Formats: sequence, C-alpha cells, structure tokens
Amino acid sequence: MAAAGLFWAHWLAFVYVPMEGTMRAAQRIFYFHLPSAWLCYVGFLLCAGASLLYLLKQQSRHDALALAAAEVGLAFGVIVLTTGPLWARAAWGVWWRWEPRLTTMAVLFLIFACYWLIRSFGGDSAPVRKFGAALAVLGAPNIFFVHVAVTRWRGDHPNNIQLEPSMRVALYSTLLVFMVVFGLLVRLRYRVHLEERAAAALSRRLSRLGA
Amino acid sequence: MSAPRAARFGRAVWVILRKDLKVEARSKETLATLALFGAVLAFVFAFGFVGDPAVNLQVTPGALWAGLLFVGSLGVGRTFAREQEDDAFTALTLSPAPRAALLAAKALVNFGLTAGAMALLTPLLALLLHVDLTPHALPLAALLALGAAGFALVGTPLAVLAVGARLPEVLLPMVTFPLVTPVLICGVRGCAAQLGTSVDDDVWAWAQMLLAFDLAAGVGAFLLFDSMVSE
Amino acid sequence: MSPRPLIGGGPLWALALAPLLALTLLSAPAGAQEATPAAPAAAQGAAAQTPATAAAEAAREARLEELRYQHMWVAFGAVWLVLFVFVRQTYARSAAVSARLDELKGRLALLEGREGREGREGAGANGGARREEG
Repeated sequence: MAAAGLFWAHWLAFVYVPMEGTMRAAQRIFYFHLPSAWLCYVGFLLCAGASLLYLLKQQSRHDALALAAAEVGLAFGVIVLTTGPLWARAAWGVWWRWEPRLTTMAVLFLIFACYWLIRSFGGDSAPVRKFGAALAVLGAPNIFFVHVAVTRWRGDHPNNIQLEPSMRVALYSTLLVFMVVFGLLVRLRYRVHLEERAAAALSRRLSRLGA
Repeated sequence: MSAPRAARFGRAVWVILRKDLKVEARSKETLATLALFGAVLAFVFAFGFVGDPAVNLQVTPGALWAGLLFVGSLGVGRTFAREQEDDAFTALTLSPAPRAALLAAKALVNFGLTAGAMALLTPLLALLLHVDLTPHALPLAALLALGAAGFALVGTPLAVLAVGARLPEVLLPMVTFPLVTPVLICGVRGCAAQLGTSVDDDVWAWAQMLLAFDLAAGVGAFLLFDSMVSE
Repeated sequence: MSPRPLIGGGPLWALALAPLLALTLLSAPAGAQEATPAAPAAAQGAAAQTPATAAAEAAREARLEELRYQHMWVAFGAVWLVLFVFVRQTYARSAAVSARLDELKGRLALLEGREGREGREGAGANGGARREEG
C-alpha cells in the first residue's frame, strides 16, 4: 500500500511537470529542486528542535525523532545538492555560485552529515546522543550567521523567476507531494528507531533474566 | 547573576584555570608544539601560495584564517587528550563546581594557546610572503583574537562532550569546522577589507559580526552545557 | 510493537490525491500553450540572420537542447535513486528489527513459562523504550 502511494505520488509529480518553461527541459528540474530544498531545511530544523527537547527532557523518543529527521533531511539534501548544480549549469552556465542560499545549504548539509556520521558510527550510548544533540542544536542557529555573513560578502542574488500560473500549480503540487513523502519517511524512520531501541532494551532485559 | 554566585563562579574558573596553567607551565609542551606548528603552517602556506606581490596580499587573509583553524583544532585536541587522561568527564559529573566554570577555564586556555600560536604565525607569514602587515597590526590582531575566541567557544564544549562520548579524536576537526564557518567568512572578509584587497572596506562591520557570533556561541554553550553533560 | 502494517490510511491517500488529479486534468490545456511562445521567438531570431549562421545556430541549439535533456534525466534519476535507496534501506531495517523483536518476545515468553502474556510484553517493551540507559 505504501509503495503504491509513493509511486503514485512520483507519477503525479512527473505528469505535472511536462509544462515547459523558457529553459526548456532543464527547467523541470526546478520543480523537484525547490521543494526538496525547503523540506531539507524543515528536516534539519526538526532535528534541531527534537534535539533541544531531548537535551531538556532527556526522553529517548525525542532523540529518535531527531535522528529520523536528520536522516530524511540528509536524503533531501543530497537531492538538492545534485539537482541544484544540474539546474544551475543549464540556467546560469556554472555548476556552483557563492550565493547565500547555496552556501548556507552546503554548510548545513555538512553539519548534519557530521551529525549522522557520528550517530551511525559512534554507537548508541547516551553521551553519543548528547553529543549529536549538541551538534544539532548549535549547528542550526549557526546557519543564521552563515547566511548573514555570506549575504554581506556576496550580496543577495534575487532569482527573478517569473512563474506562469501553470508552473505555479506544478510547483505547489510537487511541493505537496514532497511534503507527504517527507512526513511519511520521517514517520517510518522514527518508528524503526523506536523499535530498535525497544529491541535493545528487551534484549538487555532478557540477558539480565539469564536467557 | 547575584554577586556571591558570580564570585563563586569566578573562583571556580580561576581554580581550574590555575591548575591547567600550572600543568602547562611545567611542561611547556603544548604551547611549544602549537607555536612550532604555526611556524610550519606559515611555511606550508608560503610554499603553496606565494606569487606576485598583489597575489600575496590577496592570499594572506585566507592563509591566516586557515592557519587559525588548524592551530585551533590542535589546541582543542589537546583539551580532548587531557580530558581523556584525567578522565575529567566523569569528574565533571560529580564535581560540585559549576560545570560552566570548567568550560570557561578550558575555553580560556584554548584561546590563549591559539592566540599565542597565531602571534607567531602571522609575522612569519608576512615575512615569507613579503607582505607588510605593520600598518594593519591592531585591526588584524583584534579580528584574529575574536576569531580565536569564537573557535574556542565552539570547539571546547564539543571536545569535552566528545570525550564523554568516547569518540575518536580525529572527528573533532571535522565536526568543528562547519560550525565555525561564520568565523572563517567574517575573519577572511574582514582581513581582506583591512588590507584593501576587496571592494568592501568596512572592517568594523565584519568585526561586529564576529563579536555577535562569539557572544551567541558563548551564550549557547553555557546555557546548554549543563544539559549536555548531565547523565 | 504491534504487527499492523507500517503505513495505514488507504482511503486517506485517495482523498488527498484526488484534488491533485483534478488539478492535473484542469491544467492540461495550459501545457499546449507553453510550447507555442517559444516557436515564434525562434522564427523571428532566424529571420534576422543569414542562412549559414542560422544553420550553425540551429546546430548549437540542438546540442544545447540535448544537454538540457541529459541534465534533466540525470537529475530525475538522482532524485528517484536517492528516495528509492532510502525507502529500501528503511524497509530492510524495519523488517530486521521486527524479526528481532519477535524473536526476543518469543524468548521472553519462553522464559516466563507462559504463552501470550500480552500485558507483560507490552509493559516490557514500553518500559525499555522509556528508560534512558547509557
């Protein structure tokens, strides 16, 4: 059922997309790129918020949510950072530009990639979780500073994209679809993490009981 | 903070600071290592980047701040190693002293080490690249000091936490560098503005941003340190 | 955790996607209009040049067009690849942990010497999840 839902969502997004703009085919990338970027930010924001809750309340499920949000955020981040240059090459002629948006995206991605790396390979003890939480909580507001600094450095490049109504529909519907996918993935991942913790606790209990 | 509490906090910081400095003064190991590392870095950057005089001047801010990052992470790594030796992380959770005092003391030590190493690296680099930095000495020093402080405020809590999490030391620079990106950007652009190599010559604005970052990092670290360390 | 499927709410999907489908059908004619503005512009540009440069221009345009399509396909491929890998990995982990949970519960039941103690197993799993053990 879930697989059917996902495939339907993707098909729908693709059916919308064949409304070409002035950049012809490459413009279509934008419909996936922009929602992915927004949802990537949402994912990392969610991770930072959940991490803060975890630090304040010390409840395991907040940390599980933080981890799930970070993983999904990273997945969308990979999408953004691959579709971005591909779109940029067609739109601006260069693969990368030192713009506030791109730079903050890249730095944010790096911070949460480190978060994920440490959480994956550092084990699942409480200090590791706290370290990760600290990283997430310190990293997210940091981005504000990066953005301000890069804006002052490079100036804001407003992208004057004129959106025709049909393109707007395509964009917003793709956004909607991606939001659904995002929520779905976070919920899935969250459940998996919770179940893994339950299994670990159960296994500890069993070994204590001498099984 | 009320006066007695502030006094207690200050005293705790001073006690820990004195202990660390005493250990440091006895062996002089870390300061010497860092200073020498600074010198080595100056040579590395000179080899890598030296060119025409104009190029040299343009390269200087970037080289200086890259140097600060490397020196800073070495210094913070020393905190890490020292914490591991003393098993200070466990002591932290049992100590009656406010944990923030420990953070303050360690951060101050790191700041001092980084600043000391940069004091050697900067003139040496200027010498090797044939760049005259004396007219810009004060602003550059101020910017570098702010940057070192920012790095210490971000790197020290992470180092202390990493000890508790039993993470390998090599992860520390990887984790700290993205978080100090604002320091890097503001520092490099500020120095470039000071040296006249960029169209923007408002150094004060960049310094203000650095200061804001330092304050925010300090506040964030101190506010959250208790919850990060508690069991 | 209970063995219900990982994603539920089948009817909800249809409800959510129906308006999207409706929008698709309504916007389809607009797609045809998009293509036409490009053609007159190209015709005007061509009329202002000699036949030789026009041919070179056309060849260059064709190459660029092909490149754009390539970009698009790579981008879409990347999106689907990432999402597919992510979903597959999630499902693999979910299956593994469900299997492990079942096995552990089986051992617990065996240990307790009783079959089907729903309450005990539920409390055990919940209590384990709530306790923060470093």
